[in-house]
Amino acid sequence: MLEPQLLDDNSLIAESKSSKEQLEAELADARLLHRLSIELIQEDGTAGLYKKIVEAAVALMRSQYASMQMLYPDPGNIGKLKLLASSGFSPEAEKFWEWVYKHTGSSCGAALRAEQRVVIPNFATCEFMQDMPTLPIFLSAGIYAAQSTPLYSRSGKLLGMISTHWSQPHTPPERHLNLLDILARQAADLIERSQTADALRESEEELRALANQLEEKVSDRTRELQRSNEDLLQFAHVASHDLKEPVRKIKTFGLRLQDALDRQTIENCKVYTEKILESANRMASMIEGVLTYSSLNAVDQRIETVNLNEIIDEIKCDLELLMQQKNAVIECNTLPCIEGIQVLIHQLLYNLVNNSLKFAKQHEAPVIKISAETQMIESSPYAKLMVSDNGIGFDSVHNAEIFNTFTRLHSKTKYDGTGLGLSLARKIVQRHHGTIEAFGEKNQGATFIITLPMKQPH
Amino acid sequence: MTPCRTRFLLADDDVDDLSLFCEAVCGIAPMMECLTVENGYELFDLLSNEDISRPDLIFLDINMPSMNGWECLKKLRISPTYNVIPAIIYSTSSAKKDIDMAYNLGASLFLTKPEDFRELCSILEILAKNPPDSLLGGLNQFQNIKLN
Repeated sequence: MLEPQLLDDNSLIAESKSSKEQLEAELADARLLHRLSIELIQEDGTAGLYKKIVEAAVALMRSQYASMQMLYPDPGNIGKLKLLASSGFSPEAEKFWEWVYKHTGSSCGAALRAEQRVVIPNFATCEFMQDMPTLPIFLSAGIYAAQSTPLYSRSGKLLGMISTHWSQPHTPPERHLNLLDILARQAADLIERSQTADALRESEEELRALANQLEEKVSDRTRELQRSNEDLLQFAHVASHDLKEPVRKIKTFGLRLQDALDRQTIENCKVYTEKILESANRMASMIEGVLTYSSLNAVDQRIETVNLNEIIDEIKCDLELLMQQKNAVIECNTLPCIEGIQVLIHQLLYNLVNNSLKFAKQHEAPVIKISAETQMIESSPYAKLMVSDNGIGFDSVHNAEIFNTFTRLHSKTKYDGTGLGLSLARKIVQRHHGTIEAFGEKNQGATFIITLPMKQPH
Repeated sequence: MTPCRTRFLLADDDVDDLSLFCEAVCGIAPMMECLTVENGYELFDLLSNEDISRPDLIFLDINMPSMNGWECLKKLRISPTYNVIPAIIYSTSSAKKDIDMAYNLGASLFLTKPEDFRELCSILEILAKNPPDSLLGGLNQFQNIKLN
């Protein structure tokens, strides 16, 4: 009777010893999880956290390898898994397992397919693995068993996978799997948190880009407003001063006409009428000029490649009659192509050539020379255009003021025009981020040097 | 009343204004003379020409090519020879800043070019006939006369 008793005692002792060991192991696992939870709260870098989780998985599951993956959902498809961290993987293995699809022959591929935990106790005998090309890879790496547990967000969205792998056939006990589920919960929270942070960062970046765009728009608008404000001021000046002159003359000669008609002294009436019409025409062309000047900003701003040689040909065509009358010659070297607004570049060169023709010497046929060279200014390519003539020129003290609106250096009786041609030219050059300079000498002709960037900012 | 100022000089690049001015001056009395130049350089060329006797009054347009009215006025006022000749700014402008500028530079009068020819005639006649010690008497009634 004793023996069985003893036996029983022994087995009881053995049993209590093993349950004590088991309790201690469970306690150690619980402590590991607890420690991990604290570390997860304290750790800042997400990469470091992922590494800690896979190491904890190895410890909890008594496995030799572990990995953690994040799901990249595809539209209309469950998506693919990207390796976030691994434990025990060689660099080659990490590279090989970087992406896993639902057709991939592995426990995680199967778990992605099934959307639930998949345990493979033995790769060698696992039925679905037999046709898979990955089977020899597992076996030659010495991996015989694996489990993959899906990571779900608290709202039930699949976020990723946590897997452990063993170097022998192995069926993980329920107890280990339960602990793994707690770890999986933490891993899922972590992924969700980092995804939210990523989304936040992305939307922050989008907001910043939007703010920058807005800022740019505002400064563009401000520049535009400043420009149109300047135009308005200019217009006010024109209206109050320069346009007054033809109006005054219309009134003066109108009154004289009236007076002559009253007195029936008809002989002067024709002269007065002519003067009135002349002044009205002058006024009309000044208004036209002001309108062109102020509508420059509104011109279709499409920047294209402008072939300056073609522009000069067009201008020769436009001014053919005047050139024939004056026996004028344009000597032009090969000019470059630059970026700019076609109609404005045409207007610019037209005004300069027209100016040279207008201010030609009375008894000398006009010769207009146009040449170009390219040069680098602050490591950007620029085209330097020179337009020079053999006309009446102007005193060099006027080099700068010649570009001001309604500045006239020559009597308007001998040389007609609105006094806007060169102002317009300067405005066009400024519009193209370039510069224009005038050099004159009395009776020695004039030279205009225009420097324009080859490329316009887009 | 006979004029005591008979030689008027106008510097202006506008031919219409020159011819209106001369017509008005010559209409005052038969002995009146009107000299014209188109810019400042011509003005000083004419003044320094010893064959031509000095004008009694100089009228200056502001907006002239080469040397404008302001530069002429400055040169006239600093010249010991010419600063005795009264200089009148004769312009389309009626802007306050131009009027101030004129008197600051030593102009005797600022006259906005009248629209009505008859008014121009009246003003020029008064300027011609006023006694030597009083140039501006009787001009207050005209709107185009801008006093300091």
